[in-house]
Amino acid sequence: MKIERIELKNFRQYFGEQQFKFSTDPNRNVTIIHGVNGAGKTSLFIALNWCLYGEGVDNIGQLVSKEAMARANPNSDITAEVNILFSHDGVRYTAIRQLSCRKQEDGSIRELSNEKDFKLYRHKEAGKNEIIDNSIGIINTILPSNARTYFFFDGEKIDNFSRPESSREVQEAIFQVLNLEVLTRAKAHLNDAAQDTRTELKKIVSGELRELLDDETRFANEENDIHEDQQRLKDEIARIEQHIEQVSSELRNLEEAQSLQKVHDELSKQIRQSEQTYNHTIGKIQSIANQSYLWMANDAIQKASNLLEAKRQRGEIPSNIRQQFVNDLLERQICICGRPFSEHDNAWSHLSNLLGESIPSKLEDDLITTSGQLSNLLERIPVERQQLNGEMKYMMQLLDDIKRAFNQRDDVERQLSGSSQEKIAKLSQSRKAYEDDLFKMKVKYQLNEQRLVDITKQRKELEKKIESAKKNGYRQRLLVEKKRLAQESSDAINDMYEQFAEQKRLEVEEQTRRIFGLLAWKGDHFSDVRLSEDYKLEVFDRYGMQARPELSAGERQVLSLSFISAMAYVAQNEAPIVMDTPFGRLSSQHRASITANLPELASQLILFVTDEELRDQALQNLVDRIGSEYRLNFDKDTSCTTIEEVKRG
Amino acid sequence: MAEKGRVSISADVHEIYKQLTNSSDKNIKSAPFKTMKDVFMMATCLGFQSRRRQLSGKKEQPFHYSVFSESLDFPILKSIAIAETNGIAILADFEQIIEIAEEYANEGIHELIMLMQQSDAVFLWNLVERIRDE
Amino acid sequence: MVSEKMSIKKQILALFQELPPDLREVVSGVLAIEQQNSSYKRIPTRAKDEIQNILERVATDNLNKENASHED
Repeated sequence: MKIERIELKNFRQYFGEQQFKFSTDPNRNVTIIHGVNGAGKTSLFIALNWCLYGEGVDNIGQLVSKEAMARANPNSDITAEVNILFSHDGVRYTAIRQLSCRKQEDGSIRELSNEKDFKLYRHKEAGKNEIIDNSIGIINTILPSNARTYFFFDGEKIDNFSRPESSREVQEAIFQVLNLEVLTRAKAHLNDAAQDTRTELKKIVSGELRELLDDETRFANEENDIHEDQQRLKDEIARIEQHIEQVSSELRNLEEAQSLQKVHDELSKQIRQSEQTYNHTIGKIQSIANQSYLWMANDAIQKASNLLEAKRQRGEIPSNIRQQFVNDLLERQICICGRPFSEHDNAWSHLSNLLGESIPSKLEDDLITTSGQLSNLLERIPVERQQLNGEMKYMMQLLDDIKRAFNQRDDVERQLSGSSQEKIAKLSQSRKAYEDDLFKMKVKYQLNEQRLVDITKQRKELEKKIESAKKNGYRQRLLVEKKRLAQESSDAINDMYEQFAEQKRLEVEEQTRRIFGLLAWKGDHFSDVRLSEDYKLEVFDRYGMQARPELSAGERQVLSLSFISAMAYVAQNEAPIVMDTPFGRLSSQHRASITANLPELASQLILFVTDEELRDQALQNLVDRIGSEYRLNFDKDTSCTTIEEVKRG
Repeated sequence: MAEKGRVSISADVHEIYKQLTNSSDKNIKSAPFKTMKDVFMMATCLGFQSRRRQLSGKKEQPFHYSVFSESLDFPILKSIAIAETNGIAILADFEQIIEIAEEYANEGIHELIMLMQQSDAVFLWNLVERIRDE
Repeated sequence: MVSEKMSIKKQILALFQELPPDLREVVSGVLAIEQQNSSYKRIPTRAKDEIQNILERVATDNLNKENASHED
């Protein structure tokens, strides 16, 4: 989404008709709006949210310009309107939302509700505009309602993600921006539907079927219990890890223990990194193995390639094979993918829309292209083989490294535990106890995961028994079928979800790391950014230690901003980032380093700033990217804001 | 009733296909394939190597043509069809190309089953060993 | 990087396509309902009813198909 223009008519403190034009030029993609607090920035935020999503406003009376109401005659209507012209994926849209109020005889205000108060138009050629029916749906495809708070945000809230307690918010953000929320909800609601159906069934069945349903309920309950248990275990594990870190921190401060603790820290860092790399490597091996059928087809490809080449040399390549093929399909009214043209499938396009994927293109059947593809594939094979060999070797080496590091660390711990200094010995022993507990918890966690897999298997077998059990009457058969559909759909969505939640987390982590590297001030010496499996955003310093507790406001801001931009990137949501006083609490070094790269983060950047915030190096960094600039002038007497365009010399 | 545009596999190996693709981080080692299409492609290519084809009995249709990758899967399927028929005329008949693949897959899936059932090792490593054994 | 992202979407669609037609209908229907209601904190009752309707409809279709084939 790129916003071209916002028009405000009698909206809050914007009396009359006023507008902002935002720059959409990719080289000058920054719009600056100057104004002190209270000058009208919040109203502009509200305008954006209200127009597009209809949300974020509680008290109606606040929307219509007070000045306009004051000047109006009794029994006349005043309409507040926000009109936004924006483009997305090459298509231009206009969204208009209105609210009318009538000033009554006694001066009081009555809201007039109107079904037509929101309209969305698509602009077509030759000045024609087409009104869109499913306006809410379309807007949510362009920028989901849940994601907007991550793009339109104010500087105060910006460090929400980087506080230690924020893993819930981080997880929620990812789920919402990446639309994973839709999957988890769908799964939960289908589970509920299955449960409801089961309850209804139990009322009308007896005998064998009744017992089977009771078994099913037991499984479902056990599954829920285990999920709760897992959540608790995760919290426990996080807590113990914190304790361990505390102990380590104390030991670092004890002179006699320092050098051994340093070794301990170094080994812990190694273990952590190696374990991560190990998991990563297994993933790579899986990827390669997944597509290694290519290697198995080597002979076929070689033979086909030779045949094509021989024919080509003899001049025997008919040019019209593709044409015959395509004509044949056209006659039969079938698309290359096997479906009739008329029905490029509701089911398919629903899901495609959800994911933003387009319908697959035609089979490229040109023989010359095929020849080229075959040689490429043949070349790939030895390269991939080598890759696999390399990864396997690396993996074995990592396993050795991890084992060795654990052993060495145990040695260090033993030395510390045997220290003549009581304090050191005690600390070390308590840490050892924590490590043992941690191990037990992790094992329990794994066992639970295994149990879940088993339960799912047993549940599916039970489902089959239920299907073949004797049923009396149509209603029973219908309910059993409904339950099956609900359960299997829920499972299918769960499969989809599991595949992608983890991948998405890794992608967001990678992008956050990259962007943080761009924005952070080099003087801060951070070496790594991670998004853990339980959605904690962590920054590590060059010693591999978690630095988050000591992050300054500026550093937290940069981390949050990196995270938000990373999500936008991964979600492939193109949306303007609208920031309110982003630099207010930052040091000048931080301002300088952020502004150096800020314009790269979004296709459109709209910054509300106070004059103190934007000067010196920060201003220098942005000035060449500024496409339009405004100042909000607030008149204390009328409580109205006027928009003034600023031209830079 | 066969649905148009979908690939067929033998009904009695449908479970195997599902087992091999239950891929999440939790069981990447025992179910390393990302989708059933990938299992199918591997089965097809393994079947082609052993040069044996089988006709299916009762069928299931786990996925749709559109799932095939245009840059990787189609060229492989075409190559197998060309190698099988010793000519390029087969390229005009896409459904035939798929049918040939289906028959090879019916054979090749049994090799994957054997790899699954090797008692001691984990499937991923069995698979890796197999593919490196060329 | 772009091609990797495409393949993830392709994977979801592939998983989707592996489902039999009745499940595809339920899954896409429910996902569409969830998408429409994604801005609500809790799903409204009418949306839950819509989900029940989809299940009822597809279940009825399946039973009718079964009856039809038994009669052959």
